[in-house]
Amino acid sequence: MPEIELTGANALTFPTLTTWGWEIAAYLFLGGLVAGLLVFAGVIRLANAPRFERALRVSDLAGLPLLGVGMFLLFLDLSNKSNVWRFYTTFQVTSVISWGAWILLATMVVLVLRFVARVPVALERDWRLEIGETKRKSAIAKLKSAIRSFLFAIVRFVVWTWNVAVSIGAWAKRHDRALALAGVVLGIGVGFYTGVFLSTLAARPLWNSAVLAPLFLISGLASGGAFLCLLISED
Amino acid sequence: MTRYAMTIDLERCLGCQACVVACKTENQVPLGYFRLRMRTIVVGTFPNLRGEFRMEQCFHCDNAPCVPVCPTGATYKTPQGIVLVDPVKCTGCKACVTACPYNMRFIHPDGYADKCTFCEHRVAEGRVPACVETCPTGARAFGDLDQANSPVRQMLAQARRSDVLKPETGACPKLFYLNSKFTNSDAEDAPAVVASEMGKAGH
Repeated sequence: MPEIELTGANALTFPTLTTWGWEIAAYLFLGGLVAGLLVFAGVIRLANAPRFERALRVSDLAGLPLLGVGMFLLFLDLSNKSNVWRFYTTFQVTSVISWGAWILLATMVVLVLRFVARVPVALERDWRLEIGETKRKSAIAKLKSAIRSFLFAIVRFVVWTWNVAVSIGAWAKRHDRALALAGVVLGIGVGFYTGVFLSTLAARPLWNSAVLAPLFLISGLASGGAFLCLLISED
Repeated sequence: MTRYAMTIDLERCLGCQACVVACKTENQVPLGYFRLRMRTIVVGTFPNLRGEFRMEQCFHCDNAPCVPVCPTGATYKTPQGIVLVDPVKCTGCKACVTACPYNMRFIHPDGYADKCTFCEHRVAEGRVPACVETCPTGARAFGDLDQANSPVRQMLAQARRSDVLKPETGACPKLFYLNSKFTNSDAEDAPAVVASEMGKAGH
């Protein structure tokens, strides 16, 4: 019986072999889910299938928060978080993560446009936000009016942002089909790039397979489809 | 062209880990982290067991898998063939940590990927890395692989045999283990892990 012992004399000197935590696993799921939503919504829109209008609404409203959470998890996983902007000051052709960073940014733009296109109506601009003249000039009255004007400024800003979103949404509605096409292309990119990255690592033989990227994309499509079926079923 | 490389003569290595200590001191590696490590390998059938110590560190591969995966260009290779990390550019995404077939990289407590630098700051002054200088048995040699009279080339020329780890990954590591007691023909009575880890030289 051959014996083998392949051990470090000092366990302290050996690194832990888990490089990524739950954040990346959760992102892989959310990224695949959003990829599926984008591809299905794009195909439905390009095929002009009014029967699935509900699915379109669900995917437009859910895509942005889902990928937002996913990208936030990617950020959480970075161990040098203050350098996150460096992803967007360079493009490294050989680095699949660099492709992914740019694909995710473009996808976020499409998702934001799709999301704001669903913002229902513009708000009234002339809400009664005028601050009345304070007659008494006590310090407390001045403080009160200062707080009120500050709160009104916030409300005005929210109303302004809402209305900007509505006008951007109107623009997005006019470019519906272009956005749908971009969504399909970018959705495939989001679903594919993680698998391409992991499958190019010769260091991890289990992942080092051409099957991995299509597998990721197909499982993303499956979960996107399942998500839509779950939320649009009438029963 | 310069291609810095290292050799470790496994017949001379006593496993004293002086190099581990010298590296930690020279590079001020934080507590609990190591750029060098030692593996103890024992192979055979009881009572005929044979063992050797294997010091491991970044191999500064010719075809380093960690360099192309970096999304910000923080990991790069100098014209002298030394693979380095620029902490200013590193986001800590850990792509390089996963891409290294030898698990030689770790995340420094300050957030960036860190590893052996071949003591690049000493090499720039014409000195050898701290681990080479400190080795009490002279098991280590450092020098230019492209220069016929460099210490590494002389050690390689005198060696009975030389090996690199996991040559099948195509990384072409530039740290050569000389005179290992374990030959590939041991593979028949040694489990696969040894056969794959102690393959033939990749060059």
